[in-house]
Amino acid sequence: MGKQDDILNNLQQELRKGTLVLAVLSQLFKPHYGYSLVETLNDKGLRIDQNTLYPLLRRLDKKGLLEASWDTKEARPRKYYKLSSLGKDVFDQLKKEFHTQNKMIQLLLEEDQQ
Amino acid sequence: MTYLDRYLYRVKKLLPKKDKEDTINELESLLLEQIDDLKANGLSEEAAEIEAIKEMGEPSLVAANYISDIPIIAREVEPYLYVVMKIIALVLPIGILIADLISYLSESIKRTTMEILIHIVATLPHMVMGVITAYGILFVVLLVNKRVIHDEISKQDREFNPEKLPKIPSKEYDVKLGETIFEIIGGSFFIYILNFNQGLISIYFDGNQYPLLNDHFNTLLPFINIGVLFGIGISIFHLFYQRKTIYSGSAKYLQQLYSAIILFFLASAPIFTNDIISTYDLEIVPVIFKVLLIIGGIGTVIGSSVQFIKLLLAKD
Repeated sequence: MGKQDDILNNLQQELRKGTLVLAVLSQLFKPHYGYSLVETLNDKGLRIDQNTLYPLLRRLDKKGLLEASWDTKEARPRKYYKLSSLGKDVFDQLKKEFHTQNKMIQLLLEEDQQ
Repeated sequence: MTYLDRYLYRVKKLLPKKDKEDTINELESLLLEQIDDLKANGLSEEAAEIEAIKEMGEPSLVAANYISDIPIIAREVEPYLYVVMKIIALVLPIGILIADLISYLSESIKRTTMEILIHIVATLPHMVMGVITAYGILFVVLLVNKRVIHDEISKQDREFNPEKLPKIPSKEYDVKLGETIFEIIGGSFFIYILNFNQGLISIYFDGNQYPLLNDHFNTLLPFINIGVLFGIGISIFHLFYQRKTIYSGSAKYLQQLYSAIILFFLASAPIFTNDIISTYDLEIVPVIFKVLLIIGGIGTVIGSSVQFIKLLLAKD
């Protein structure tokens, strides 16, 4: 059972990984800083490791999908991220792709149940 | 110095140079937010720090996540890989060049400057091959580590304990990687020359090679070896722990004082081959060496004393 749990955990992680970028991009139409985004995603049911999210934001920023800026007006400076115009285009494409994949998987799963 | 300071210091050391400051500033800001939340939930400042850091994870894993999201080797080893690759790229070519030049020059044939330069250029492909081979071996070792050893170890519950993070060393207690590696390699090279290739310390005259050092020097050689080997041992300790301690600093000071005494002994002892000196009218050579040895000894005493006092006065 131990080995099975390991396999299941790994595969569940792979499944979640596939949709993580889409989930993160979906929340960045409004500016967020790392910690507020973790809380927002957690509140909506998506548990995400901080150690995964923060570097992911940085990578998406480097790819040009996000615009990052430091807000130094508050007592503690915060780095905010929001979607760039490229990010919005990519998000739209990814969303379509996800819906297509989702329909396909639903069909496959329904076939399996018949 | 808080746990957060220590944690950020360790992560910062493992991040690549590019965007390092921005990454650390952001990480600090995010951890502070989390710490505030935990404090609002009733935790003390220290407990909140420890909890936030624990959740973030081991410094090497955090750094690895910022470097790449495609792990080929064990994640926590990745940051160290880049450090080792830099050391190999710097040290190995120099080592190959020096070894090759020693072998080339120790042949009893007179060489012109042009011949030596051509030989150095001819050594370049060997240096490149050496670095590529070393990188290949390194990757294989790390790949085997990931596939065979690491996955087994990571199945065991290894809890990251922020309380065990080492303190941030002050400037005097910090260890410079390049300097330490140089001390180890330099010391090893010194031992090799004095014990296995003493013929290099010769007078080259009229196509012949005349060893400069006599049996008196060989009598002192074991004492020189002890000093150099002790110094290498301390450098290896510093390399392993990546910081000095008051004890290793004291040991280093004693080793340097010992070395200075050896230098003074060498300056006063008749270590040069008199026949060669008088036959070829080279009386100035022992004088120059003696002066250099005395200056070296005095410089070592003063320099090491100043460093040791700074170490004692610095906070660890």
